[in-house]
Amino acid sequence: MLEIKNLTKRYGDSATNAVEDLSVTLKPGEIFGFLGPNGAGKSTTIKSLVGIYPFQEGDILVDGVSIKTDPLAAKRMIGYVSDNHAVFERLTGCEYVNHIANLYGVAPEDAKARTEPLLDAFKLRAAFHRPIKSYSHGMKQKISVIAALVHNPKLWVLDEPLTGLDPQSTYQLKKVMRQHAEAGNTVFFSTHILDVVENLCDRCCIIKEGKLQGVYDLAELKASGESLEEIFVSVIGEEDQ
Amino acid sequence: MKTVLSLLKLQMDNKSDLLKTATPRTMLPAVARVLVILILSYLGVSFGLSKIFSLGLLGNRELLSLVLLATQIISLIFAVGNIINTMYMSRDNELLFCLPVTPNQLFISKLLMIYVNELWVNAMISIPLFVTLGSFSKFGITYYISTILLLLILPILPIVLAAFLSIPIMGVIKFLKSHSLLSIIAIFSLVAACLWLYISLIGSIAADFNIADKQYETVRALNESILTIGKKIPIYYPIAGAMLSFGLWYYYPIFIAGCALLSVLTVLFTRYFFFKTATATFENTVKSDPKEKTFKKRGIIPSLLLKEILCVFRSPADVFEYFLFTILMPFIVFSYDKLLMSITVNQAGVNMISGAHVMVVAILAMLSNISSASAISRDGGNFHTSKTIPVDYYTQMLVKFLFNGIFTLAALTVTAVVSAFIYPLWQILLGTLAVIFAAIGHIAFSIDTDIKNPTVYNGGNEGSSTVSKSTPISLIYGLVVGFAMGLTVILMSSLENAVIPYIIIIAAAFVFMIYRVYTLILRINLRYDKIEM
Repeated sequence: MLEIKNLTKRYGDSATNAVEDLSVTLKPGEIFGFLGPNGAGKSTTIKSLVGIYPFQEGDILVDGVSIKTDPLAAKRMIGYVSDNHAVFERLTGCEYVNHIANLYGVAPEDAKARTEPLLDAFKLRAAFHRPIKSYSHGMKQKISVIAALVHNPKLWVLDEPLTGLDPQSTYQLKKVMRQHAEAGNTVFFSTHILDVVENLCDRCCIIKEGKLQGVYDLAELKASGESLEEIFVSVIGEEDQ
Repeated sequence: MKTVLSLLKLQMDNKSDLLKTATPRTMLPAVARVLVILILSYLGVSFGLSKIFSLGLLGNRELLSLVLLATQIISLIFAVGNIINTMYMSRDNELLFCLPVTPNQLFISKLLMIYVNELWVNAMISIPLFVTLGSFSKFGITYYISTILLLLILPILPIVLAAFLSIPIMGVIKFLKSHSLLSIIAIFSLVAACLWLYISLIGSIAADFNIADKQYETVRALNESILTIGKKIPIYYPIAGAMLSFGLWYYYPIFIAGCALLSVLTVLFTRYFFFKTATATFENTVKSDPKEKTFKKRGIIPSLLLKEILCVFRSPADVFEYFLFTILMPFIVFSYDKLLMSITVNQAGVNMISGAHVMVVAILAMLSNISSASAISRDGGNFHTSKTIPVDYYTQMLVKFLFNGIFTLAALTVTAVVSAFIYPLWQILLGTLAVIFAAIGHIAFSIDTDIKNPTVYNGGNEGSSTVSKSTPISLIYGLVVGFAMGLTVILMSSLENAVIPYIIIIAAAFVFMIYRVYTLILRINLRYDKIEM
């Protein structure tokens, strides 16, 4: 579903690579956690794969479609929740979701059918017709999630999605992520919370200083009795955390 | 007191870098800038007054009392805005309220901040005016010494009055904040009324001064009015007397004592409103019964266009900034045309005025394009959406283009219809066509400038941000284009065939449009890719 092939990204005239020769392949129906300390290159990788950043080397394929050579077709298959949860705050929640649905060519009845259960799950129904600027941080995050799912993307990418969410919303978001993956789609998200990765993901990877340190199957780890936390600390180093 | 001064410095630092980096080297350009403004203002006022004084305007106590009143009225208008911005709607209130200071210390620091601002505004208005008036009327040394003293005292009365006025005004603002459309209409009506008043006033004076025979008569009538009205102005007539005669010095202590008493009353009265209103501005109020909407199917372009419109038109401040000249264009052009026509006496003048008309329309059209200079920047933190949606950059740019173009084109059409009552139809059609071409070119230039250097990192998330480094560049460029178009017609106004200047500006504007649009399209993907946030 997602194939990151030898991705290398540098910012501007910088001599160092923010991401270097990163290769990861994600399967359909899988939830994949993206781990690393601050500044490791997680957001850079995510922003490269959703089309925000151009990159110097390598390629990113979404269901076989290159974001480099056919960006529009690739973007149609991606749903993205950014780390800053920026949304057009002068629109109402409904207007925002409607706008995104129109951009992805989603029929109003489909958009409604996908939005309704999420409004209930996230307890956002009462605020849906209010301007987003009146929303709390968590509510903005939830409306970003709903908008990202309105076109039922094959690949759902979330950058630090659990930051600032209350426990109930965190639970609901994890549930929605699971449901989305169970429908045959792929969920790719970055986080600092190892417990979430351990309980939610099928696989995860750790990057440090832009380089991939390893890909781990959570079921295998569990079977072998290894803890993700110990692996993370050994890979990253205690001081670097 | 130390805390109050620290709070004052904090607020001043927040507004300007001047005190933060106060070294002789950094202060020098700022001081030089102030001096240049004062000298230019002095020269401008001198030039204007010299024309009237040469016709026999008398500089006397009555005139001085009128000038004092005029500066106080201007100061009052600024003071109302100053109080609302500094006291009630300041963005730093939220932070300042959290500091370990007493409410009184905070309140007094705010008042001092207002006084400092007003001192500055008052000095900028009064110094050139008083110096010019003194030099033309040959007022004595008492006048200049008084001027220095008055510069410190004069801001007090406008602040006192403004403090009281700002309370009902804040009530109106609070009401309008929840009624965006009403707010927009109110703002534009107010601006239109002020413009109409200004143009009518200038028109009536200009018309009289234009006719040579009537000039002396007008000045005589002006002197008589000054003598009659000047004497009747309370507070300022006595002060004007004290400024001109040392024998009347006792008016100063009375004035100062009066100001002090009023200041104390104002502090006591407004203190309550300050804490009540200032805290209310950063509280979020939510309408209890929002209007429910259903999902609607729209094409990509209509959807993007609707988003642009909603994001801008839901903020009266943005509408004012982006569309002030667009909405007022027909009104301003019509008023100026009438004004110019009233002071024209021969055919050569009429031809030149046609050029001036093109210049005014072109400049206003370019000023109407200001929203294009923040086409990308106003997306602020939402810019990532532009890159992640499955819509190519050309389409997105077309929408940004249309958003500005539609309004400018509509304003130009209405202006053309209005102008057709004053000028020959062919002139209006050709002139408007040239301006449309130039405006399209200018929109393309403005968008291109913003794409090159957007401020998407600093922008807010509201989907609209007025912060853009490209705006001044776009403004200057637009003014140059508009000025050049008008100047071309004016300079060629002596030609027998009056169509030729219009053909020339149409051709030039067309080439300009093609070049700018081509440049924008050519580099769009590259420019977009370079924006990393």
